[in-house]
Amino acid sequence: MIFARLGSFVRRFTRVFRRRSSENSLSAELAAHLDALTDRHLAAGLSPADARNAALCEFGGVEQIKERCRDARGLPWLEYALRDFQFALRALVRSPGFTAIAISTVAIGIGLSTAQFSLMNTILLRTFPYPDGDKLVRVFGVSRTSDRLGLPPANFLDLKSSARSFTAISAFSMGEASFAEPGQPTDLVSGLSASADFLDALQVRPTLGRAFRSDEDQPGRPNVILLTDHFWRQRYGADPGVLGRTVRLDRQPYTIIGVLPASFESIGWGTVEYIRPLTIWPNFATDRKNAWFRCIARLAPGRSLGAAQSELTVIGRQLAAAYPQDNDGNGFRVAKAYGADVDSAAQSVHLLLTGLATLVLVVACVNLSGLQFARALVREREFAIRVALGASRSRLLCPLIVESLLVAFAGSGLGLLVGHVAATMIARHFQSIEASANHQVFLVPIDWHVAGFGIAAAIIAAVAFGLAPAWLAARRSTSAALKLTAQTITTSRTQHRIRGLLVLGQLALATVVMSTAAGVTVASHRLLARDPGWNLDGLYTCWLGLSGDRYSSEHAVLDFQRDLLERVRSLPGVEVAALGSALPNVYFGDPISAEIEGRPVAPRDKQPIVSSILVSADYFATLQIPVLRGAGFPREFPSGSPLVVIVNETMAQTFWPNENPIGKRLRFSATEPWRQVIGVVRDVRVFGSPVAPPSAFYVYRPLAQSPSSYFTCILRTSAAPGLLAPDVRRAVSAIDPDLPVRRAGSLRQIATESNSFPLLNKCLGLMAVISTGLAMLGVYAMLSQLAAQRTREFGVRIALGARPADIYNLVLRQGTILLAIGGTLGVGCSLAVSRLLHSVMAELEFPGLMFSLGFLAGLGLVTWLAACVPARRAARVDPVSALRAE
Amino acid sequence: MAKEKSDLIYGTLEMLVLKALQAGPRHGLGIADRIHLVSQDVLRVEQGSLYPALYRLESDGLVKAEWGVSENNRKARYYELTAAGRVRLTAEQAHWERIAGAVNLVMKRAGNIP
Repeated sequence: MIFARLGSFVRRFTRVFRRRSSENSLSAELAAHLDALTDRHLAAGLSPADARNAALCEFGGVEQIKERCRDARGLPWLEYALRDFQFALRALVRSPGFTAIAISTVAIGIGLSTAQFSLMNTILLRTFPYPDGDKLVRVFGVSRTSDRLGLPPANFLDLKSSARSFTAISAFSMGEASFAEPGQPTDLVSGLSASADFLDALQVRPTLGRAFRSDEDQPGRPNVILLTDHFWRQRYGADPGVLGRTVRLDRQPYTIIGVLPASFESIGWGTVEYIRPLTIWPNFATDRKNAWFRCIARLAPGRSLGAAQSELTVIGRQLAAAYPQDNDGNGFRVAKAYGADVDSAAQSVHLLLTGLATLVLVVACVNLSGLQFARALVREREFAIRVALGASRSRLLCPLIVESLLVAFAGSGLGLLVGHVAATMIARHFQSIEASANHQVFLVPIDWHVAGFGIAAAIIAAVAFGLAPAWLAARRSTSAALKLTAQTITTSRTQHRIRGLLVLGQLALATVVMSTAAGVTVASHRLLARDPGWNLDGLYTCWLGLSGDRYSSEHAVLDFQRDLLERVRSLPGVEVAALGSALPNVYFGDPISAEIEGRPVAPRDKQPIVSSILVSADYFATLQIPVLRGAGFPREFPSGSPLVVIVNETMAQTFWPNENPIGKRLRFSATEPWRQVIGVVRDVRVFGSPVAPPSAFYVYRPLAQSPSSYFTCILRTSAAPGLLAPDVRRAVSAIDPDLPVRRAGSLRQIATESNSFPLLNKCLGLMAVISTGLAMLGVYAMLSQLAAQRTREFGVRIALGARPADIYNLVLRQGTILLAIGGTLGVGCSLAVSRLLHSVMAELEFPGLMFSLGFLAGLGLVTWLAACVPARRAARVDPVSALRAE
Repeated sequence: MAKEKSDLIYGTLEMLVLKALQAGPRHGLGIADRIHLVSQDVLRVEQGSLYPALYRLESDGLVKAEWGVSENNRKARYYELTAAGRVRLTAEQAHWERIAGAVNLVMKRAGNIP
């Protein structure tokens, strides 16, 4: 039975493609039959003509029978489909302008949105590429000032022993180390220190060698190290013999015990070249101050993120009650591991880009709808005639569906290509920026959900609006349809309204995209150009981290710093040099709560938050921050001298209004001595940061009184700052040959390169241009079509005495009304968007209403240009030929 | 699908065509003549309607066709039953006899019972 069916299908299928020969055979057979009947009637004595007629009567309608025969033997649906396909292809080829515009519209819309969504996916939404990566979570410390802090070691250890929500909970810290093989010069490498169960939590197995043993993060065990795949390939040419080899890491000997799989490396870690055990020293059990442990955990089976958060909230409260000194008001936050490190400003930038990319997709679809609608309207009379000639509704609609699908699919295919190229380009750009900030390259796989969504949207837009006019035509009575002649067709009120709405929508959406893009661009330029209160130019900076036995005492650190300052001050071209724990170019200062002497002691969670920065003498002189009152820090502090601080202007005015702040005192906790204010400096702003700082109050403390082993060295020079690099490196090596110099270079250059606004503005500009172009195309297409349809009417008007200028204005008015409504809506929306953005990125000053209005005027000019062409064409209508053409 | 002429019971045309071919190959006109003759002029096939049925049977592999020369020396396409066609004819005939017998029974007896 199945074979019989299959055989039948194959016979019918092959018939479809041997149409000509079987068609000839059919005609010949029917003709032979007719001839035989005619012969019979001739033999009965009829005249040749009568015989023929009688035969035809007996036989039936030849053409109808042929049609039934064709249906009977072939695969009618396949034949129709093929014919529709040919028909549609021919129709598209016949109007190459429409086809090109429609396809590229779809391609741009889909390409752009796919690229943007894919990027966002990569950065924010994807899960770690580890087994059950969606079960991996990060645990952050939460304080009054931030919800993405690390954990102090003791809190981590308490969490590890009491939390039941996780199958594994592991600590790590990211950092750099000097790396050398015996007898070789040192290199700076980046990597992780991680507790022994780190790889168990991730469920990653080394491809070579072994993972850490469970006791290897305890003190006194031999030093071991794992290498990542790319470091192993790059450094050792993938030599399996590295196992057991000894290398020096931060001057200590380490034994290589394994190599991690390539899949370990992913965005989120930054560059990782090694993992070594994070030794849990005995004093960690009591350290609740220094929140430097990062924490990653794997949710227990059946535990949700919410359940884990509730458990940790309870543990957080218990810790706060047990150790109010350090933990009061603090808690924990559990977040999905992937993308957890992306801060809220970056998230909102991605949301903005994604939102605008979606708008561009919508504009593209609306534009396609308009094009399809216009094209189908023009063919309305053709539809009417075909209905009159007996075409069934499905026969009328099928070629149109096929045509719409062809456009949608061709556009989508091209769109995916565009999306892939765009995403790769943006990722490469990111890469070049992040490379300088020491982050890792990432790949951007196409997000198929979004691509699918875009394609579906394009298909719906193409099909729905391509079919509507044909659908209407099929419903209209034949006589009414045939009364429409080419010249008398004027778009019905409904059709006109649909068309107008489509263009209006496009204009509104394009205005949102454009004016948001313009707003962000202007705001970011203002941000980068405004006076930050200090001078970025002419500064050289580098970062140094003193670690190991050599720097275990505060004296050793202070000696190093004094020695370094002396050496770099004498370098050629250096005017003034200083050290500091922070620079106002990224994160400036650690937020900490402060108590002001003479003010009632507030409960801990009501105390003011200040940002604390450790600086050496000459810090203000080097950055050129004016000292308004008092003096800067001296170079030497005799032992036993009182603790001192310098505060910024806002802090002085807020806490000691109308008073002299010099001599006032403050402290950071009730257990430490008071610190005396000896000076006031002008406020500074963090260069290029769109988010508001955690506190407007800054407290500068002398490094000499609070030694810090991680600090930056800044030099003000009269020469090009970049040229100082080799000299500074030499000066550092002269003190400690093993100490690596990090993130060195011109401060202006580092600050500018790490700022993502230039790239963001480029993306926004591109979207703005595309959406405007599409909207203008929409206006142009609609007015052209409108003018063409009213040619006869214009002819009559001119014949009755209208001047060309009247006709011109008539057409232009249509465009103006649409622009006025659409533009106003768009400007309104974009003002709301800027307000939203401002709430996240408070430092961005968006241009106001006047800017938007000026912008609208510019948009008006472009729309006017788009409207001019069809208006001019309409005004040139020759009344005689317009009236005669029929 | 097309409707058949009213003097043919709907759906029986294909069976009749298969039966007409049982004795040997015939062309289209020959099949029409045969049905007409055997049914003693009761069943008149509209000549043209024969062809969609023949093509359907051919596509289903129940008959096969070949060009030949007719008794009047004209070119004609001759249809012949295939093995599958013979099987189908037997099945159709048995089916038809059961139905026709049942209809006959009803027509004869149904009126008699009070």
